[in-house]
Amino acid sequence: MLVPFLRETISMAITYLFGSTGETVIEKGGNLNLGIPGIMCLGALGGVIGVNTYISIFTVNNIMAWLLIIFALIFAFIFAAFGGLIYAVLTVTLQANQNVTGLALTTFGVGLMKFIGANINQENLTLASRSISKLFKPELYQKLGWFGEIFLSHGVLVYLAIIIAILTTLFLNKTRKGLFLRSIGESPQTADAQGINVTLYKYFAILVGSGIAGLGGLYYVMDRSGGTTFVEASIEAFGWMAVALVIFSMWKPGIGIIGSLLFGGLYILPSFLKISNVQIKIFDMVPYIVTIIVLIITSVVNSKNSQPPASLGVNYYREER
Amino acid sequence: MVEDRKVRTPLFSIVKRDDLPKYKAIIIRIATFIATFFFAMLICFFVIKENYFEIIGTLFKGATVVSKGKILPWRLLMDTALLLAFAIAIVAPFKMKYWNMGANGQVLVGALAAIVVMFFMEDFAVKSTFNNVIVIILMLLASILASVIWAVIPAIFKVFFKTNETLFTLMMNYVASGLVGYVNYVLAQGKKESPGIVNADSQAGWFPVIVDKYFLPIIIILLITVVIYFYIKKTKHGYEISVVGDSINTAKYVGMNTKKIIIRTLIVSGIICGIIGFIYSSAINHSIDPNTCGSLGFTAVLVAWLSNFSPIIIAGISFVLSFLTLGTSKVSSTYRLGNNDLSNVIIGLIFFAILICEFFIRFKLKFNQENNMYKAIKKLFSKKRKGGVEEC
Repeated sequence: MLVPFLRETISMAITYLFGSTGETVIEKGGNLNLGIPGIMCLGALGGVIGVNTYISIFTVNNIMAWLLIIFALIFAFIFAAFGGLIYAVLTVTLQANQNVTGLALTTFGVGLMKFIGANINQENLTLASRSISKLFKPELYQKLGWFGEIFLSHGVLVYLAIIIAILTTLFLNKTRKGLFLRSIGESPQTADAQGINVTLYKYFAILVGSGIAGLGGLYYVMDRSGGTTFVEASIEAFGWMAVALVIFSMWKPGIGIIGSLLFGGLYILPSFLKISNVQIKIFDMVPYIVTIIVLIITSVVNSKNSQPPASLGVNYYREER
Repeated sequence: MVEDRKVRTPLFSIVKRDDLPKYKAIIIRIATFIATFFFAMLICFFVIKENYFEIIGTLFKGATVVSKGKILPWRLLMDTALLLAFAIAIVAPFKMKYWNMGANGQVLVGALAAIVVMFFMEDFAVKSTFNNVIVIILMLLASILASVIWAVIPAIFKVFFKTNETLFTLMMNYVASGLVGYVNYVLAQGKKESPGIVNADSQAGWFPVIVDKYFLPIIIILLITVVIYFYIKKTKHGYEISVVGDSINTAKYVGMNTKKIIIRTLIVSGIICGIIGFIYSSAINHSIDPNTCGSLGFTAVLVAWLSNFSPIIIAGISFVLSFLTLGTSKVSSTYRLGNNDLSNVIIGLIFFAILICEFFIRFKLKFNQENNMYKAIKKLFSKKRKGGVEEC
């Protein structure tokens, strides 16, 4: 009972983790991107198109899992980064309001995924998904008992998400470029005076962050849901959870790993409890209520370590000093 | 350490402009909208591969469709009124820079409260017309109460603890739709997902129908719009809202109680959401599900922001967007595109284009004469012109 629960928890958490890691990178550069749900949908769409392209080139009988996954990753990343590019051009270069741009991007991304997604061959997806989610299961894990079942029975994207989260933490905290990015998020004026190219860093953060978030959409469609629920997938809701998770993790991707596990656990908990359907309906609300409580606690405690970047949500207009 | 570096001048710099007349700005926006519309239709054309003008015709017919025996396209008017109402509900908080993303949730709990009252008071309502009126009033009050609570909770935390209201209200949306799912299940006594249409036989608690099912709701929403227009533009409360929005510190220094103002404004916002919820339950659907208001709450955020807080412009934009949504849904069904998400794509595109044009309304590009590329381009052009002259 406990072992499958923990396994499913990890499997669910990864969707959130990709999204929140990407959004953290973006927010560290001072941009509050409410387009993450749309970007995750674009990532999912990109991944699905990538898979379809692969199959149309190499045919169904000839699936090489590694190549397939590289196709999917590249397509998902490019599609999501394209969404990020729209956001970056509008908010960084053209000084548009960040919240409004983000919401427009969400409307656009969710709409585009569902619109194009309705015409995509579902059978290909199910087939491709099987090889993507199996890829990283070494035969070894069955010998390791519960440990193998919980930690080693996932697809490759799960490990990729954790690696990316750790690398992002290292990048933000241990490298010079990460320091520059953080300083832009705190005060772009000061960073600019230091000779840091604010625009370049913001573009970099938004494009890469969006790309990472987009992989969350890819993961959900191609691994977690087995390629079956592409159009009905509630990726939009997961995207909002990812945005909330950024606050929960206090802008630290390392803590985001733990936070995503908590959120993922809460999400799948009802299906593991022996409760009536009515009680399941109550449980549907729990992740969101927990997020609200966390929001309140972090704002009430108000410690120096849990604060958002100081210039978050404010556009930097150089001439205005 | 000073290096001997070349001075790099950018090709152009961005300068704020303040000389653009208002009518020009409006013309630019409308032109952008129309251009984007035809561009979006071009995309549809490439997807559908039918006559371009026929597609546009289908869209217009679909949007203005008049059902049998009616004179006006009521569906279009009602959709416009609903989007207008949503935007009106959040426009006052917006003016204070309070990002209320939770209009969906606030309307949902309001509608839910009205449904619950309607469900349990059927026996009382059927006794006489007077009783029915009382039930309808109780539904309205319950709806308003629920919405106000939903709207004020994030506001209280915002003013006392500076809790981020954007995310708080977003999460409240999902809590609200969860609550709707749960209560629906309870009302249906666990047999079905929802009780379906409430009081379908007795019509107890249903709003009276005059002229058309949608006529009275639209009138109510128009009245609210007028009231809010005066509330924002002509009252002391409205003035206080704009001061808090401009600078919360200024408001504090001149002795305004900003906490009170923020909470009071959110109560107003909640009341409007409550009325919308009541309209959904009592006049339009007589039932509820978690997707009752779609994503109107989000679209309303875009509309309210784009309108620059003017209720009249909000009405105009709401009409255009509802027109597009209805029209594209007709296009989708006529050409078998499968679903109605085309409208979201088009609305997204239009908002991107308008955000771009906002930039050119607010700023202008000033080319730097010192830049090398600028010089090169200028040289190129002047040479060409000289060449042209010689040939003549």
